[in-house]
Amino acid sequence: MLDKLKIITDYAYDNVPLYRKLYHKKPELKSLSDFNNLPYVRISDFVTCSIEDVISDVDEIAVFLPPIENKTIFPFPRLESTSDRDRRYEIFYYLIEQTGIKEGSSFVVLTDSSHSYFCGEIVNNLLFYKYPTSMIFVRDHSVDEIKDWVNRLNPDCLLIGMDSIIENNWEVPCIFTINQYGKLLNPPNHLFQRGNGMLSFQRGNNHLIPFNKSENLLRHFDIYAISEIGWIAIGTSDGNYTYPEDYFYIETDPANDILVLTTLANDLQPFIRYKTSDRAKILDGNHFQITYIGEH
Amino acid sequence: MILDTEFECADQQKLLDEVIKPKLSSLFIRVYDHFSYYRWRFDEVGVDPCIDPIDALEKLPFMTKHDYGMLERDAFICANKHLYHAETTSGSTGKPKRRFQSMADEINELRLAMRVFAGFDVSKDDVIVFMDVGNPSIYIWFAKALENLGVKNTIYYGIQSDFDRSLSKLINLDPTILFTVPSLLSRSYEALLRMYKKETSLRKIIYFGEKLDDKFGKRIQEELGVEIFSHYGGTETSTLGGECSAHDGIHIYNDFNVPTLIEPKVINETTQEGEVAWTTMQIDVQPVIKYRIGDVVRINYEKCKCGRTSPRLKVIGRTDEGFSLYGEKFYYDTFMNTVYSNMNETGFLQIILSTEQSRDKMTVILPNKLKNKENKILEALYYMNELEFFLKEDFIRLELQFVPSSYFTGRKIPSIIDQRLYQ
Repeated sequence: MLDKLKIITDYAYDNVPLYRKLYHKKPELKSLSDFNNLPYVRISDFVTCSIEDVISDVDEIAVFLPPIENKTIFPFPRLESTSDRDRRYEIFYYLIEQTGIKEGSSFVVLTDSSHSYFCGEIVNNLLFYKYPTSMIFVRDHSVDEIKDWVNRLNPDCLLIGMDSIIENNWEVPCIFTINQYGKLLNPPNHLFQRGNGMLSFQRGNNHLIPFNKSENLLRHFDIYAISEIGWIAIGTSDGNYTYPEDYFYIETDPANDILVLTTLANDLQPFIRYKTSDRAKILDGNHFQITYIGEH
Repeated sequence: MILDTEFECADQQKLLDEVIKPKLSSLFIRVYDHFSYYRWRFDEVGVDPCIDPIDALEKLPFMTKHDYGMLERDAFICANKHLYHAETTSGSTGKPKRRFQSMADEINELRLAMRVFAGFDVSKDDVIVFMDVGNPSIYIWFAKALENLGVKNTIYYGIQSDFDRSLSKLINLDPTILFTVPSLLSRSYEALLRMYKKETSLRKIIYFGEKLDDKFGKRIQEELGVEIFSHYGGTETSTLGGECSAHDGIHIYNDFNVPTLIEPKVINETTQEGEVAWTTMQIDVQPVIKYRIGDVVRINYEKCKCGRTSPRLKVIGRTDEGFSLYGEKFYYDTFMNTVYSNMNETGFLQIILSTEQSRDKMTVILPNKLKNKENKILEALYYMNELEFFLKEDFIRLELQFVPSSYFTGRKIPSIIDQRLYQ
């Protein structure tokens, strides 16, 4: 890991003005503790710089993910080179692989206007990996109206890419959410069961569906994502999030448990010791547990 | 429905004096200050950006797709914190074209798109299904414009090359309007026809990105009983216009975008024909002035039956060497630069597009001397920007064919031959 961190830190210092200003001189990383002594970088550092100072080369910009709209604190886009985009696709595939869903499973993505471009990229990724996918734009629909549209498409998986309709009783075997850790971690206080060929269950207090394969219950996965970085990890049944180690180095600030991310494979806009607005507990291997999620 | 009667139905002279001229003046001063490319162009022809804007527009040179790349860096810097979106295309010069956009761009362009969609008589109760094969980005933008018109139900429906299977759930959505690109429509048409044998709610088809073959258009109208509308625009210009229910040309809104014809041919008192170049007055970050998008058009300045006074155009041809796959544009130069990637290599290439067993096929014809590099060339083409997706998804088959050099030198041959079946 140290070698990977050295490569990305050297690259960032040599190519991205923000890191040259931040570090003053080229960091010499002889151990992980040297890396852990590098200053944190925050979204405010990115926002206060000129945009050309946070990327390595304007000419390499090939992909642009707009920020999530109406985000009150520092909306910031994600800028990618072609290879960054390819790696983001690889990360997406890695996350989907963790769920064990069948290849070719169909998806419906629900989005509102604010999250539409971000969700559109998820649709793009799903289609690229041959998951038939549709996207419904949610406006002033009632939950029943949305359910009617979803049922007409009868997907294998539903991805709820917005905050306002986190609801329980979807008639879909597998549900994905984004940054809804609390809903995932709350222990279930009710039973879900299949009946008459339809999925039915008691409505809980905004609790989502626990994954319990042996009982053939609904499955719920939560994607941990940051608009300026992309998708990072996927939360499974036990509340643990799994991330691809080849792409991220994850630590927490010992003072406050804030999740700190380093992107290991971003050429254009690397994030080194990037302090998120979320808190987490680092677990063994490539897992962490989110304990608080800030604004995304 | 006419959304902005004040502008869409305005007296054209009044519009020129009160809206177009001030907007052009403001554009010229702005771009002169912020873009080294435009400063060079103004200075080159000795035009002061503060002179009468119509005079300035006439004197300024036409802008090519190659020139467009020279705007990118200044546009990016200009956008800075206001950067909101960027669009990238494969590019006609072999280098991807990038257009940076600010939030102001998004809002201005949505306003124009709303005007165009209102012209399609879209109602709040319509169920609009966008049907496409890949990135839904453009449809997200269309959905936003439709949302602003009060349309509640818009759904993106991603389909794959197995049309029968992919489209099977579409009928459950029972759309009133289908929004797609002509090449996808033509390839999925038989499957659509099978589905739509029974009574459905489908009333309109909106297409964009490509020309719809006239015969195919008539066939759709008769067999599906739908009204067809065209949305017209480009990556660099955004939305330019759309048809109205009179179906007598595409209304272009010259309070947003000004067309200039290159060496226009006068057809009659109100109609001219020629290659069109656009000046975008609503674009904030990366505007274009007399930009040649490659369309040859016929423009009619006569008032339309619908009541609009805005000019109407019909696209009658293309000037550049390119083709479209399901709405994605590909250019001859991109293929040339991929095959002959080594700076010291030069050679010839021909692209033949055909349809075999309802699938598109692309045959790239190359000189025999490249036969020993066949695998390398196939690999390079496979990973060419955007083409990978269409090959991987089996929307098109790629084949290389090697011929003696005399094939290329013995006679003048077209760079691209498109023999695909569109109906």
